[in-house]
Amino acid sequence: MQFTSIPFFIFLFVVVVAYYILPNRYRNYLLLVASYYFYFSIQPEYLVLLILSTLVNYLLGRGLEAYPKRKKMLLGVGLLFNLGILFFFKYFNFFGEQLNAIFSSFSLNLKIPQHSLILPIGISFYTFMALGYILDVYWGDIKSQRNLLTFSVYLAFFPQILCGPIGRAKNLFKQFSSEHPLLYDNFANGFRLVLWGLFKKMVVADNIGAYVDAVYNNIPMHSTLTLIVTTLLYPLQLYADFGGYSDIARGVAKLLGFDLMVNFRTPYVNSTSVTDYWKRNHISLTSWLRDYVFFPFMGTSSSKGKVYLGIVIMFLASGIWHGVGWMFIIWGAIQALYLIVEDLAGWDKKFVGNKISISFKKTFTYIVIAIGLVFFRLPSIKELGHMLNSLLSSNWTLFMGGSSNSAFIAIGVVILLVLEMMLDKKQMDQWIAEKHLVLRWGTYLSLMTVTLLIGVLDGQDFIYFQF
Amino acid sequence: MARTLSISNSDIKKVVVKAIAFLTLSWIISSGLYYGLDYVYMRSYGGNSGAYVNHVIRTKYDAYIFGASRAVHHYDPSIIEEKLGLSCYNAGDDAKNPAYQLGLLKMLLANHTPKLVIYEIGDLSPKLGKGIMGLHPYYYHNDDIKEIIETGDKWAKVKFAYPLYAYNRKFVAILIGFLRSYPPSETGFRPLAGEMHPGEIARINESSKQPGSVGNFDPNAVVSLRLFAHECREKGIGLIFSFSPSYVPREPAWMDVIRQIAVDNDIPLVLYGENLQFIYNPKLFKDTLHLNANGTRFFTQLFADSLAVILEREG
Repeated sequence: MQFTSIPFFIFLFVVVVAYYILPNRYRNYLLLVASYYFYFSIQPEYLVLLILSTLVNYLLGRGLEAYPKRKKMLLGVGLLFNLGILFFFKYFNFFGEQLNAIFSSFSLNLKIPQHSLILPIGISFYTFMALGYILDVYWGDIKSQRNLLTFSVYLAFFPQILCGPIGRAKNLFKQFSSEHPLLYDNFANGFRLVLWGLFKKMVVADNIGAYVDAVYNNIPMHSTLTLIVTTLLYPLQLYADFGGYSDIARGVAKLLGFDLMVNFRTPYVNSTSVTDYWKRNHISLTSWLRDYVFFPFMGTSSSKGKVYLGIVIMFLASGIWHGVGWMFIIWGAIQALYLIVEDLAGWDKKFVGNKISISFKKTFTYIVIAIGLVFFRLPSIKELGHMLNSLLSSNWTLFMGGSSNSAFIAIGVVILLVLEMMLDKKQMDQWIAEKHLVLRWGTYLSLMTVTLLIGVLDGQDFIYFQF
Repeated sequence: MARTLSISNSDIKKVVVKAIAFLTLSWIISSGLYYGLDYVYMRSYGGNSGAYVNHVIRTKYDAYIFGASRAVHHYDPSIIEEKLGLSCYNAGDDAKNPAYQLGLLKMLLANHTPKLVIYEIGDLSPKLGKGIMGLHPYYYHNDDIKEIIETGDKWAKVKFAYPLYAYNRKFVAILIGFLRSYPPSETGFRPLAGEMHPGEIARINESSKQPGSVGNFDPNAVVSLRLFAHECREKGIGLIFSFSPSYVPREPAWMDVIRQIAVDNDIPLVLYGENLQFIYNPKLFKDTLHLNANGTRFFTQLFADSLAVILEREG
């Protein structure tokens, strides 16, 4: 049951109607049942793991408050449990492979077995939400949640369980405890976000995806120019895919009266530096890493060296969070390097003032980010070797991937870029709400028509499902 | 009461009215565009309009080749025609699944019954599931097509509630065809020029030339293939299943199913998938799955010889 599928919209319709018909005291029960059903419909075998994680973290949270003398020990258990689950499912095989390679190079007769379990969907997201909660309680920033129902919905809430945004307990507990009346504005904003998210995913991401996949799945066959174009298109695919998901998630939550964290603020169109980009891109993860990794690491120190080391740790963690393998670690390291170089070069103070300078900075930032994302997209260093070989081939023919698909990419990208340039730091729902009725409805109907006309309607999974 | 407190009647009314207004307006726009595109599409008979099907179903040949990319690029009808004395048309098309082939056959049969159909059974995998989109424009025009589409997709009725869905992702092809229409191919055959890229050969060599393992098959594809065989038998059309060469020898996961359908319907099987004259010969291939023009000429000659033997044996 994908966000872009008909069954999901039927499910959503039933949940929304039932939600507003039910008295307030039963609504969280409904959300929990709906969320577990939603998760079960996608990956039934791992619903138990989600419930287990909920129970363990709930008890740990209660314990942290009830037994202040054992806080450290309970925090250790919490970290071990949550990171242990993540490690087992995401990284065990990877580290096992590396260790086995080391053992064999030293001719040691040791072998770490590999498991063949698939990755539980959404595990990176809900585990970080659980970890954030445990740390908040430990630091005394919030009180532990007494109500198991509220805590369960917090972790399982269906709009955000699969790909975030990684919500914060402080913000969400409040919302799960308060009443949400049916408000027209919530529906209007929710609808705007869902429509915009569907457009991004179906028109932009999936059309570009068909091209990018065709090229990256067979790199040696493609020319220098094709690989450059693909490198420049991939950031837009990634953004439209994940940004589209986040918009739909926020829109769906809004229909139920909830405000989820804003995850993107036009990062690929309006960022003037990589530092700026990380304030606009995947905000819920970046701010999570800032609050729970970077700041604790820094403590009260403000030395430049420690700041840089903190940045390296934070982005290596981001790389590891994203996926398994050296390519993600390298991608994380590159991001840290960009930030440090920008700081040392005083990039923020350069090329300021006129529109041309700002356009140059935005273009430069986009290219730099796109190059970094090559490491994010390619599965191995070997493929990177193939890519470098093909890039050096000086073949300037361009793979078109079918005239229709190229035209669809062009249409989708132009609409996305034009609208995003106008949005800047606003979200689509806020921006469109301020417009005249004709422009508003014209935009809704155009987005709907373009999606029906050129969208990939029976499309692919969201990219971030794999994380 | 909490229940009444949380629901404002004016807000509900506003939500319902605006939702209905949006659905109605978008449906009207969708229908308008549908009629415009349908008008152009149904009057196109070839070229790049995407209305390739319109041409095929109006042809009258003795023999037809059905299948996906490995059909349209691998069988030269002129060689078959020359060897067997049967007029022949290649009705294959890229990335089209068995449900599409069944629909195409049914539409062809409404106009003409051929003597022989050769079906390239190259791909029954779910990845070709979207191949049926080639028949979406006929959903409102042909009940057989409507039934085939609805059998393969339980949500088809909901999706087609917006008529524009029938022309999803087709408008550029229709527009280009409208602006630059050229006559349909006489044979339907589209050979691939060039040879395999050295990088691709190196990659296959790196993977130790492991025989290609071909994954799961689409159950809908199997049902459609059975119906296809049934339709041919009912109409007295000679049906032959053929599996053309691949660069890496492969035994598809669905071959047992194919064999069973062949036995059940008394269909001869012609298998060249592991033929030693072709495998690992980059000069005969465009990519791992597709022969180039040289490979196709060579293969069609061998295939036509096999076909002659089968037709003689079958009388």
